[in-house]
Amino acid sequence: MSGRVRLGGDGRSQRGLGGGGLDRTRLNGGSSFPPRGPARVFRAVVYAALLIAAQGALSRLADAWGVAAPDLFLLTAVALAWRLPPAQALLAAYGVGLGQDLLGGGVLGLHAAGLAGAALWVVIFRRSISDSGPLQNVVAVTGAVIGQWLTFGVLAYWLKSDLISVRLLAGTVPVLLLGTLLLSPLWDWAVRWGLGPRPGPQENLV
Amino acid sequence: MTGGRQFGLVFAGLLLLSMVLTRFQVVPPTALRSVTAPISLVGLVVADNLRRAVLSVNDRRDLRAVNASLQAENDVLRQRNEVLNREAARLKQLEIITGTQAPNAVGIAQVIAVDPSPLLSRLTLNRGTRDGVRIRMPVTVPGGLVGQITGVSASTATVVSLVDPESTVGVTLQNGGGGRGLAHGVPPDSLRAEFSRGVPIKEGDVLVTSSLGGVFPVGVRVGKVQQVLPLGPNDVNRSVIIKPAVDLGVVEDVTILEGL
Repeated sequence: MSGRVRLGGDGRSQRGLGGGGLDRTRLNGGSSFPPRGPARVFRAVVYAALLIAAQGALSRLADAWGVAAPDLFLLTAVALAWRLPPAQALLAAYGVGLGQDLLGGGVLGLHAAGLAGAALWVVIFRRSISDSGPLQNVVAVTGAVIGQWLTFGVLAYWLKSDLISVRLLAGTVPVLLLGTLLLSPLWDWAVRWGLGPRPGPQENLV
Repeated sequence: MTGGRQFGLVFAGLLLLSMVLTRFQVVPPTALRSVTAPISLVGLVVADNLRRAVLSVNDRRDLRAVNASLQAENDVLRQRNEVLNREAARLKQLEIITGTQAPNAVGIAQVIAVDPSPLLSRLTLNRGTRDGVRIRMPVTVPGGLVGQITGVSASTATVVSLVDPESTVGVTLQNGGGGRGLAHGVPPDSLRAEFSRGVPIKEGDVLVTSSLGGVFPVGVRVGKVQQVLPLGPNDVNRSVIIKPAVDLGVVEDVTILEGL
């Protein structure tokens, strides 16, 4: 079964060590992104456009049905956290969040911090779980949602805002998590095309 | 500096940046959103069309159910309408008869059976003694005379129609044309009447009931002269064939009048 979870496992027992996963290029901060060049830029731009259009469509449909839309920006932050070294993953996720803030027309920094928090948790989880499989995906996305909303909570506390309420947490977050989880396998195709395949769990961690 | 510490510092820095940005409510320029507006619009259009498609399918399904329900309701209402129309027609018939033939109508009855014999013409009505029906009561429709009651039970009555061989009715020419004759039924669909030779009767004349016999109200239409039979050398009366004013084969509702 490919969906094995190795919580608290030894890094040396996982794929990557001695198997070519942590080769010199990876240790030097290389990523699993496609090779640099016009094709990489093109794919990134198309992916961004697809992300904006799909998120807009999902939000519209979800609004019509009165539920929270799946968060494709969160899935993008998760994907980046899997593919980049930790610090770069945080910065990239923060950038994606800034884009979300920009699209939403709200206050800058809110979703940016949320996605950075999501990426933080995925990077932490990433040290302990295997590289593929549905269960791993569930753990990663759930952790990302938790990280995102914890960060929202920190910001709401900082702002002394009632942005986060128990009712919101009970009514919105489970639906958002479920929708995002259901959509993540499908969206993973777009992520693989736009950002490249996911590396092993230990790659890019240093 | 270790990787983990660097990682934590980066996150702390980003969180601090967000704290500052959100504290000062930094809002991005709207012009920046205009760049992505066309892409967002694509998503919205797709979503709207998808939602409309789903709604259309649901609406179609709902409309089909509503249509079936309305169809059933319509069938019930049509049936009720038919009953009410029939009732209205009966009442209208009664009004016409009480206004033109006799004011003392007992009521309206339905023909529930007819005599199958080709030599007789008798009808069975769904009114009897408990409805006030008695023997010798005339039976009419707005178009003219039907016959008279010859037998009655608690709930049914038998009518001998004008064309039955046992039927006899006194007739006279309409509009005071004079003459007084007796018409007998001639199955299956006519009457034969005899008038004195001096009566100027001809084909097409309309005959109505007369006071002869004292059974029928005067002036109820009986029929039209279809043929005047030639006089024989020894005939003392002129015979005519009468076509009844009422097509007894299609009568459904009749009015029973009080006898004279």
